[in-house]
Amino acid sequence: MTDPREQLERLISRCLDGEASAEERRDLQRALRRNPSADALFEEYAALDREAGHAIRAAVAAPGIGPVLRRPSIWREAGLALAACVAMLVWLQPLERPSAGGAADASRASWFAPPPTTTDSWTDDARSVERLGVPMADTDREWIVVPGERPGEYLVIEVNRTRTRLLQLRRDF
Amino acid sequence: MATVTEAQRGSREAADRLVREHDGLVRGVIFGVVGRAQMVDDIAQQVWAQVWQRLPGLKDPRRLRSWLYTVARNAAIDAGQSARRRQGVALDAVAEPVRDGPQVNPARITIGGEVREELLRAIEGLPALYREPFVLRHMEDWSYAEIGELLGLPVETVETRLVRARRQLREALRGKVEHDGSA
Repeated sequence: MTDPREQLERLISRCLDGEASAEERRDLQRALRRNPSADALFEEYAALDREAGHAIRAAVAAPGIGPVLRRPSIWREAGLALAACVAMLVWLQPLERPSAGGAADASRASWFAPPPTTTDSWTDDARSVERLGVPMADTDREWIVVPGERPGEYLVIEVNRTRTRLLQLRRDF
Repeated sequence: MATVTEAQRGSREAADRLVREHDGLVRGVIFGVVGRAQMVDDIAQQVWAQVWQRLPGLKDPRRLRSWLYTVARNAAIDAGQSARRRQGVALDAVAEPVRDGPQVNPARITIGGEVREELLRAIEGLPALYREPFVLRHMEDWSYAEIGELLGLPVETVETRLVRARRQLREALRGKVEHDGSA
């Protein structure tokens, strides 16, 4: 048999959660009128419940602001893509092979990069910018989540990263 | 459901709506699992990143809520385990009940600011199996049936866990609530 105290607590809990039937609510009402300690218990649970709701929502939810997945601006996306492109170019640049004679030959400074020309290197880099619109095959998709300026805001950036497999290295041998 | 489908097709606006509508659920689930309010922001970000990545794989948009629950719960469990390993502390420790408090009188109850802070600590200190339904109930105002469906529990079990959660909170705060005697 269930303990009367436990029965009372269960009834209070059901009422606070809006799960009690009309009959159960009447039963509780009668019990509270009859028994002052039951009434005190109900008041205490009701207060705790109310405050618990406030406490949880205040601690966990982003206050007053709905979370937003912010749409990145076109300029920001273009900047990120350009930065990724430049980073990729830098990353693809081979290591310099040590020269046996000690005299660095400019034309052999790189294993497979074309010999340096007198043209402005920026114009060479600029050619790579054309790749922005080219869909890259053999890529790994990754997502970067950046917290926004306000709580609950996130900027999600999708990155297509080329896999770390360099076919060019094989051609060198 | 249309929102989910749109988001799956890559609509940022739809993804934005999804976050707005379900961030409360995600945060509630995380808090229910880890029991540390200060961890919620970081884990929620991870969850939304995973959701964004894996959303196209969700076959039945009607199951979004339970799917989100699973993603959030798994992320929270992983984060909780990592934190435990780093800190060497049990995140799921049970709050030590305060005993021998004053007798409760039939009166209206007021709870001060400091006690609110203690109440949050007490909620954090609840065992996860009580805290999860308790947080979902209070964050989302869900019925026992909804909580049971999400947690995979019978309604009676949800009810029992809520009763026990309340009892533990009351014991943890015994002697710290004030009675204004106006009733």
